[in-house]
Amino acid sequence: MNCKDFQEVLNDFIDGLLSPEEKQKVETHLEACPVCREELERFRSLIAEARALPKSVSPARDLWPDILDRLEGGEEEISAEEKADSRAWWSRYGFLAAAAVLIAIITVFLATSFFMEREDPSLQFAEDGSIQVLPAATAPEDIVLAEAEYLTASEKLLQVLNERGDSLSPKTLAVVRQNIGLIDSAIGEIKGALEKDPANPQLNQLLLATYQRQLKLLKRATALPPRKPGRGTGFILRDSSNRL
Amino acid sequence: MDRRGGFHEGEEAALVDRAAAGDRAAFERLYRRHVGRVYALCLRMSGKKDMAEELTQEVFVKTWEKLHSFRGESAFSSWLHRLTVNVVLGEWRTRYRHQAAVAAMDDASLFAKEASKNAAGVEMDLERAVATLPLGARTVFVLHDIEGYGHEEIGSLSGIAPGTSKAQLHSARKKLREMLKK
Repeated sequence: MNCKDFQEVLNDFIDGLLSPEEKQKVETHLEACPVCREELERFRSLIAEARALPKSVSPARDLWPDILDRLEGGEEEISAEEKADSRAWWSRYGFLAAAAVLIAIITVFLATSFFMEREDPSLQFAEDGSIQVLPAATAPEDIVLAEAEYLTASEKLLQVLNERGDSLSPKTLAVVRQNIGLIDSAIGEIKGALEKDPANPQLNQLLLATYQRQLKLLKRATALPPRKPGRGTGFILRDSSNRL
Repeated sequence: MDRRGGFHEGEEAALVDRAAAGDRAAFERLYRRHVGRVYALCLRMSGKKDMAEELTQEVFVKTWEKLHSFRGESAFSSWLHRLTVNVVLGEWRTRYRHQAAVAAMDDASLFAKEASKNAAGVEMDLERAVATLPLGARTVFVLHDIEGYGHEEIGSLSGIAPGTSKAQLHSARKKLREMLKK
């Protein structure tokens, strides 16, 4: 080993990352080279000084008042008491609620998947099988707006669906109504969990994603072509070219 | 008796429980106990006092929001330390989102400017020298040489490869050696 080789392995030598053979070569070189010994000591001194720096440094001003302002500002809607109750409830029953919501969502996702495009832009299965809700706006005002939009749109679409009920096959209509019921049930589960934990971002995102799914289902159902004369069953289940 | 910084471990656990249940007085005591450690880390990782103050506030707001998820499996101080690192690295990702990772965050011109000041005879201590390092090198140096993280852990926290972390550390040490003329 020469001085250039030593420079290349200096840091690994200091950090103990060399193999025994490499370490031996470095030590042999150091015995014969005072320049590299001095270089090694300079680096060790730098690292020792870094490790000895104080682990605690007081800020020049008290930051607590600003932090307190932010805590109070962020909790206008949920009082500390409600938050404590929510946490206590969530720690006691949260896993049950989460399981119920998850089962409801999976049921909806699987049961309605044939009605949908292959990929839902807001809700996807991850490789490990868990449901991934993609980032969406979940500020309280967004939730309120989304809910209002959902209620208005779903009412109109249900009306359209009822008006043209006779033009769809009974089987198709039954499948549509069953899926609407499943999604309504999931929305109820999520809203029940949200009452106990209103600020939970995952639940809020799930609610938005489920609203979107319900609307998409209704839009597609109202856009279904009328059944062909003489055919009594739902062609959408058999005719892949018309599959939604 | 096991005391750390004036707190029984049991006393700290009780404060954490009370704070997690919404008790701000308990949370303020936790803040007073840990603010120096959090601020020191933010200051060294950011290299700027005003940014360190902002980051420290952000850390404690996040702590308040996430306290319910603290399971007590590690010491609260370790959990808070990791949260601090995540908050700072998250801030870097937001500020420098057009760059791929910490590895890409180098401001060579700043380093050259500070190094020339040193060459002109301005005395520089280690803290000041660390503050002038390029972001990637500074982040890895602070986490590895001051805070004692390994390259694997730095990689998993910052999203860079362990090999990149090693290269950044070597670069940081070399630059510090030049600046400090040790």
